[in-house]
Amino acid sequence: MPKSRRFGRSRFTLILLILASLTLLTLDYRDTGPVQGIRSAAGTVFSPFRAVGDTVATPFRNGWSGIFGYDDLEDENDELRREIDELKGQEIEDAAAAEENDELRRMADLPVSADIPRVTAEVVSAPLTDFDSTVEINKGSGDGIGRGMAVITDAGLVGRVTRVSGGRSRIVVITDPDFTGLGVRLVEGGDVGVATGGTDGALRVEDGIEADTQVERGDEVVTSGYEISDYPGNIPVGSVLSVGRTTDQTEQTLVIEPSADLDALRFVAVLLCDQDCG
Amino acid sequence: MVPLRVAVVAFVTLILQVSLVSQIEVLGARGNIILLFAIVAGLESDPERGAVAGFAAGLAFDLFLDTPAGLSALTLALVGYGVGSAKELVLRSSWVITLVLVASASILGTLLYAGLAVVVGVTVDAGSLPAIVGVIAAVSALLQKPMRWALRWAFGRDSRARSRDRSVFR
Repeated sequence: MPKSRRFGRSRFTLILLILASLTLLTLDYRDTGPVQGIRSAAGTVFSPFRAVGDTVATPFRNGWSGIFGYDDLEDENDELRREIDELKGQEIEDAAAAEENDELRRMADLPVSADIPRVTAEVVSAPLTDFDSTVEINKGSGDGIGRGMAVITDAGLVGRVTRVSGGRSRIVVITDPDFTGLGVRLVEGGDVGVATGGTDGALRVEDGIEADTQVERGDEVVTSGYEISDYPGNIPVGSVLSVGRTTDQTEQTLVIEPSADLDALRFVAVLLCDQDCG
Repeated sequence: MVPLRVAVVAFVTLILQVSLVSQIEVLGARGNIILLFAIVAGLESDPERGAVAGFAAGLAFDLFLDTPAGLSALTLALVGYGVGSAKELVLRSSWVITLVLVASASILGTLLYAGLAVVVGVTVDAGSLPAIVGVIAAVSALLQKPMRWALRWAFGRDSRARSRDRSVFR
């Protein structure tokens, strides 16, 4: 085939592929069309092959971690020893505090999150690319998990379910730069704001915190639990790292460090309810 | 037979990416052998087949990501086409030039992906881009040889005939 004709044909093919990609991007952006369904089906079909791949790859992954993570493990070990010593001293004090806490709960009749149905899952995959911060868990729609459900650990809120297939789900964590719409409340002041993710592993509250509210570093922040919120109330979100002011000085801005260790997730619980769990 | 063999290589590459390469962090970044697949497809065939192979592999990868569907497909179609064109217009075969081409295409492909991601509303941390680009280029350079073997097998005789031609410039 003459070179000019071949180039003409290849350009035509490229234009078709670009148009197909743009169509897909548009459909997915508008959350219409079959894209979500195809993603879910692909996840289910691919799952057995993925399991085989994970089995084969695990020794290599462990080998890599063993070689390059040894220093980290040593440091972590030392840190854990120190923590155990501290915990031993705190044990008696904590037992008394727990008893007092239980008594206060009963007296104040606080909503108990243990009533909310949940499923425990293991985190089986890190983000797949450097531009994606979702993690994967080993439970899916077969376990009752649905899109938008809140994911927590014993330390606090982790994120929400963004995609579900038969046996696996992907979780977008609360520090994802594109994570939006997390209603939070200051435990001390009671002010309510909306937190968003950032690129530095922290959350930001840009509005909703009154200028005269007393906020200090270390103050606890929980989910607001308002009717329009996607999450049940009083789930620990994090603690205040720093306090600032909006440009017009009318409100305070907060930087929040998440309570849950999002870089070392192993087991999480998915709350099997949507807005109705509050 | 060629499309089937290419699909087999793409499928194995996808499993390796998801189960192994994505799970290993180096300097806070991960390799991307799906991008390498598109680059080598362009290198071992022609612009048209490079674009189609890149598009298909990117589309399959998109199904597992939280970024908008079509983003990897668009990027990898352009990368496959670009590498196929660059090879056809300038060079034929030399391991140094191939290595440089693979590394350069990895860098440009990653930056293109990041740029397109920003356009469609994905937040990209510009501060971490140098590490991401560096790690992806290094992993691509390291693994380009086995990927070339696999895709030479997949594309068959055409690819082998091209690789025997030793002249560097047209």
